[in-house]
Amino acid sequence: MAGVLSSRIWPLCGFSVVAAAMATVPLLAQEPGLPRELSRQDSLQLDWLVARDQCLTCHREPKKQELFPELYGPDIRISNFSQPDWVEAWLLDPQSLRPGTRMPSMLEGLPEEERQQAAADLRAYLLEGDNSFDSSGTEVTPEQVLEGERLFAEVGCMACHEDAFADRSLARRTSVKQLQNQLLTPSLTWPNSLMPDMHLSEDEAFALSAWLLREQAGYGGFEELPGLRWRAYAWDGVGNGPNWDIESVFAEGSAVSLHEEYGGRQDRYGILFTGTWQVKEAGEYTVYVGSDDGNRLLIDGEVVLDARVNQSHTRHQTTLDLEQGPHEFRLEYYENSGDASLEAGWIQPDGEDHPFGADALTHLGKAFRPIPISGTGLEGDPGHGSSWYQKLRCNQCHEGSTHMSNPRAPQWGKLSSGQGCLSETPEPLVPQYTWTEEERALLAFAVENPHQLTRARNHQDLADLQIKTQNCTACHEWPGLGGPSSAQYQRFQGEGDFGDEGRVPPSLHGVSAKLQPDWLEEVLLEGASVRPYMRTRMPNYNSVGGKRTLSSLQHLAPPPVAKPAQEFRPEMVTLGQQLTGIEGFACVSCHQFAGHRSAGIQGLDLVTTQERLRPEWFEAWMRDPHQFRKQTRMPVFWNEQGVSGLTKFGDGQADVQIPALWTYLSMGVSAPLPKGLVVDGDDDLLVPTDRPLYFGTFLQGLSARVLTVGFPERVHLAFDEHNVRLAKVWRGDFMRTSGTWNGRAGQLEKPAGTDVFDLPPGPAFAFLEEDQDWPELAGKEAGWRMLGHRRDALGHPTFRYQWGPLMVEEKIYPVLTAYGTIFRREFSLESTEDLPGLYWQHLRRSSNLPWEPVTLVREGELFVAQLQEDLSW
Amino acid sequence: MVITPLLSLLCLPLAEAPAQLQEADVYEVQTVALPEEIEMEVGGLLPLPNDQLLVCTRRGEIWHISAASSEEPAFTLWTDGLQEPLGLWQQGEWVYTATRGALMRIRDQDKDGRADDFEVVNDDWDISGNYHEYNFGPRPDAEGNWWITTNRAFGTESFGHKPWRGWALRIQEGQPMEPMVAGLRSPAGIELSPWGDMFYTDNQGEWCGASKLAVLRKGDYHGHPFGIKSAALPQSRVKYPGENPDGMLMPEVPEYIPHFQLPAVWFPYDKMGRSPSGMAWDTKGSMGPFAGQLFVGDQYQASVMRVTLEQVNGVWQGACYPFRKGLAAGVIRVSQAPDGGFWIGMSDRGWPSLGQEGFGLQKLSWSGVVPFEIREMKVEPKGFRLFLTKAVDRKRFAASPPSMQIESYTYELHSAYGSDEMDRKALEIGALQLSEDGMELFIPTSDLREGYVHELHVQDLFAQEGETLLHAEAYYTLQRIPR
Repeated sequence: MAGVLSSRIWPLCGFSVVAAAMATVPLLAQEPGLPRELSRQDSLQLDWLVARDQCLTCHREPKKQELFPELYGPDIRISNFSQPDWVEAWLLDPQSLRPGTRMPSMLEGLPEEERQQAAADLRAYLLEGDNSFDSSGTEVTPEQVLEGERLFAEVGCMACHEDAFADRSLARRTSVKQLQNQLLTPSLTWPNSLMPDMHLSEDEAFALSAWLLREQAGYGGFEELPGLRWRAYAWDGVGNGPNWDIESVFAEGSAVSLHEEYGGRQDRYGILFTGTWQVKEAGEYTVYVGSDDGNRLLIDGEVVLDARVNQSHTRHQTTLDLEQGPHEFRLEYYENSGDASLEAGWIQPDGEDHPFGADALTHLGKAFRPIPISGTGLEGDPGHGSSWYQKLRCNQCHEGSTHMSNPRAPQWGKLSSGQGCLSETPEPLVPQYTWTEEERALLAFAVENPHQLTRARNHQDLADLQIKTQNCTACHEWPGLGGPSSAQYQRFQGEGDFGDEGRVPPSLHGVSAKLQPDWLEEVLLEGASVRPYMRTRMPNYNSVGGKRTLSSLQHLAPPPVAKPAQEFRPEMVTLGQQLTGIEGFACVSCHQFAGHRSAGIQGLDLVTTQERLRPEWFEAWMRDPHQFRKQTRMPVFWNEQGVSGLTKFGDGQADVQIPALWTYLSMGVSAPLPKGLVVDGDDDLLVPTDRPLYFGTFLQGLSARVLTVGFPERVHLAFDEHNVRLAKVWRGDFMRTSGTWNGRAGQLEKPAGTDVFDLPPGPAFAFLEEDQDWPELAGKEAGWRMLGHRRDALGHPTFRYQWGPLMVEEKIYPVLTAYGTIFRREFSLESTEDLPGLYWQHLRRSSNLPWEPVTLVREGELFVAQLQEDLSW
Repeated sequence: MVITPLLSLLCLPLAEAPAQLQEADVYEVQTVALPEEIEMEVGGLLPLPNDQLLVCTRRGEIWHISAASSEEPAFTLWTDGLQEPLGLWQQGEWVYTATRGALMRIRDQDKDGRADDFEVVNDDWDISGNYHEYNFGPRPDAEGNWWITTNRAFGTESFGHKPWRGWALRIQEGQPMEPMVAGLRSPAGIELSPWGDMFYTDNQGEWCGASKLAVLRKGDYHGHPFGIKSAALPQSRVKYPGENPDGMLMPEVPEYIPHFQLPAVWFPYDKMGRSPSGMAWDTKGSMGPFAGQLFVGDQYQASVMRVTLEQVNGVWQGACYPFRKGLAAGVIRVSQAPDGGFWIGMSDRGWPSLGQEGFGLQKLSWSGVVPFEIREMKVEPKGFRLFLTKAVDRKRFAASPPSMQIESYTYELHSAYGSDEMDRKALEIGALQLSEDGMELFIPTSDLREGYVHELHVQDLFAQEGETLLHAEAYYTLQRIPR
């Protein structure tokens, strides 16, 4: 079992620490004579402690310095995160502001007056010339706070911040906007921060900030503020305005008046205005709304005006009998395209026009601003502050390794226990840490036995240290270190009927042998994730610590086999497709495939298999998944002799069927779809199944005249008929039609799939002078005419175009290959005259020049050539 | 409540009150049952022999339908991937269609029921990537040249503004296109008349005071300036007409702008429809009393309107009449089948329609019942003559002459959306003159005005069987008073 010292949860971004109770105290029990060797667990605990508190920053240990992660503190010269008085309070007593912080008390042992002055001087120095802390209020609504609370539990914050910031020091330190920025980009002021990027949207970061700073709502709570709230919604132009319950909000805010341009979009958006109409006198009110395009007005939930049509500016009015007092106000407005306008208000009996705005409408909210905190009240001297900064060597923890010369304290090997930081009665200005007795004992041991730090460590030791340092075990199990606390284990959320597999992040046991190194990198450094049903987010650890973790994990397994053991054969693809489909093992009953829904639970997408998994692990998993995960719902298909009941494909032999599955899945998003997927659950997506589909559309970045062709082999192309050239190829999903087939349509489409490859600009053929670059001009301007295209019996296209005497036929069709389908292009050229100087812009990667001369051969009256290339990307 | 029907039954033979016909009694509508998975947003129709039909859709497909009028029509996807094709025509083995970027011709060379050869006939225009860059047609003129009309763009032009929007283009195969007529707005219907003039319909909006039917004549300008700068390009067959006056009564514009073409028929807003679209002449004489007349669809009203035309002093003009409402969806295309019925192709995507469905295909045919209707309203130097479908009850006419009201008005050429009916005037009407056979009625007046719609309302005109007019109004667009 893991050592008792290992089950701690400690802060990822340094906000707090929850100390776990110690069950046993082996070190203390052995006093006074410390053991000469520590247990493996205690060695790890010590390494972790040295890393966490950055002991080697001041006490250099040249031999092993690089073993310990650099966890320098935030850049305190970027001061606009904290209000100035907080900085003083922090310098004087960090532990009381945030119990458990890694920041030691730096001004201990001074006479109180001098201590106070030093804090004031340091503040003056640190904030010199910088008044950028913005203490103005940020409006927050109750809904945002509630959303923040939900996110805090759901996305995984609580795995590390279990106390939910109970001390609330943040509310006295910073503002909603600042905290939002910090959450969005934790590395902004603290490149070595352990706090990862949680993939928060701006709205989510705002809501989380609002929740974390909820104390700033004050005792009065939320109140009616003048004006109204607006939310701008994305809209695809379909139907009578956005579906306000479904569409996403791309901007929101408060305003004193209505305006059609909130959110800043030009076309296809909606704005929802809400508030409370404070009617001062009971009576009849003539209300009006005029807009381009549609609108709907609801008072107290009743529709009073409804003009949800695309229109030029049109005004409607109605008369309402209203009681005195508050009335719920909701105005829906949307703009399709062209001009936009909005006006709304009421008309008094004397004819006076009152546009709806801050004089009559209110909304619930509160301006959050940092709660005041008392500072020293002393005038600080920046010059003295600078001296303090030097003297205390603040830079050693707060400016990183470039300022590491001239350390303040003796090297590690020259330390003696009971002195300095470890002294029971430290001298003035010695940093004061809040170590537990056990931690002190461990550190003392290492001081007495310097070899404890300099000893050799194997890859497993280093990986353990990294896992513990990054606190991966807050969510994942790691052998020897345990996993999430039982409270957190309960807290993980998921969707669908997967059991714990669907909500608890997977164990990291054997992860290095399981995952492809590149995928491991994507997961750690880019936050890649394949389990959409899991609500807890795998964060992005693109930091020094994340990279160290990646490297340590990669060292735990040998590099993967570069090539598949067997040679690629297209029949294997077909066999794999049959096995995956509903008539085979019916994998698609539980697994999504290339973004399409399964018939049952929505298990992770199978086309990610080859990108993620090592083949040997895949085989072992397929043969016996329960050896990896006891409670997995993954069935076992083959018996111990490697025989399955499914004999009609591949004879029921695991030795045939598993490689076929691997070969098939190795094609990734361009694997032909298996039978049994729910592809028409998504009306918007064109899915070629039996034959190629053709879809003519406006394509982003190309032209308004593009013929796209989608193939069942899951590779697709866009031929730009305006510029007379093959312009794009991609894999996976083909095209979405909503921008072309809904409403008035006319939106610029883009490929729905992945691996989009843009062919180099210009036509496929051109006349080149020596040293001339390939011409970018294509289409009519370059003399090319589109003649049309033909479709063969399989539906494969041959595009036809002409330049003067030269007629070109370009046939394109998919070819199955390992790791994805490619396109083959066959050109047939025919000219009524010889064309010296004609070049072909081929796409072969092996060649030095991306183009080569074309030699036409005389054939009767004509000059002809046949060319061919495989287009892989 | 229970007694009423009994009473009316009893009264019938006594009072000789005829059953008043409804539109549906006279023109039956049959709905083609579509498979659930087909969204038949019709853009063009091509009726074929043996109850076959080709339909192109706004989604870029062409469907082949066999046994189209039967209870079990069969649908085959003939092709896909076209950009918003909005018209079909056949010539030999080729099917022609106008897509956004090109006039195409398509065939099925190997006869497997799927098109396999797609040729660009002409693509001398470019498109900017605006949703409203529709092209309508093609239709061949008397010389066999293709005509298409181009819609103006509205709003964002993602790939830059392009010429030749709001034009009628003539295309002779193998030759550069010839932009023949300018100033169109949203010219959703184009059709060759039986006598060889090309007509189009256009939709009310800015610079287009009312929806209209007009003749396409080389060199003319129809008033919408969106694409008029193209007139300065060398290909243009229209001389640049200069800047539009913003706010001038239509009849005055031709004096101000040479080659300014007024329409043959205005469709007064809401009274007739809002969005005229495709049209077809009854060339088979199968429409009963209205044999040979013109039938025009309306997208907003989900209706078909009726039009009669006459040439006066060399100018085509005429009247429009309500005809058949209550179609399933916004009418986009009207096309006569070989059996004489009219295929109606529909879609309301993007533009609201009174029709209950989003799209569909129906067939409209004459039931054989003759309604009492104004067959045609024609102009004479001193009044209008109504040609009726049934003889008037002369006795009743003499005892109590019907009431006739005619009001005239025109529209303004201006930049704002649509025009009010301007310069209204009620006409003074003299004594009505009924022909001997009771089939013609002359309405004398000396208040005729050129360039004005003359809106007629008839009351208390009884046929011999006792019925009144099924539609008691007509709208005559008078451009020339015969001399």
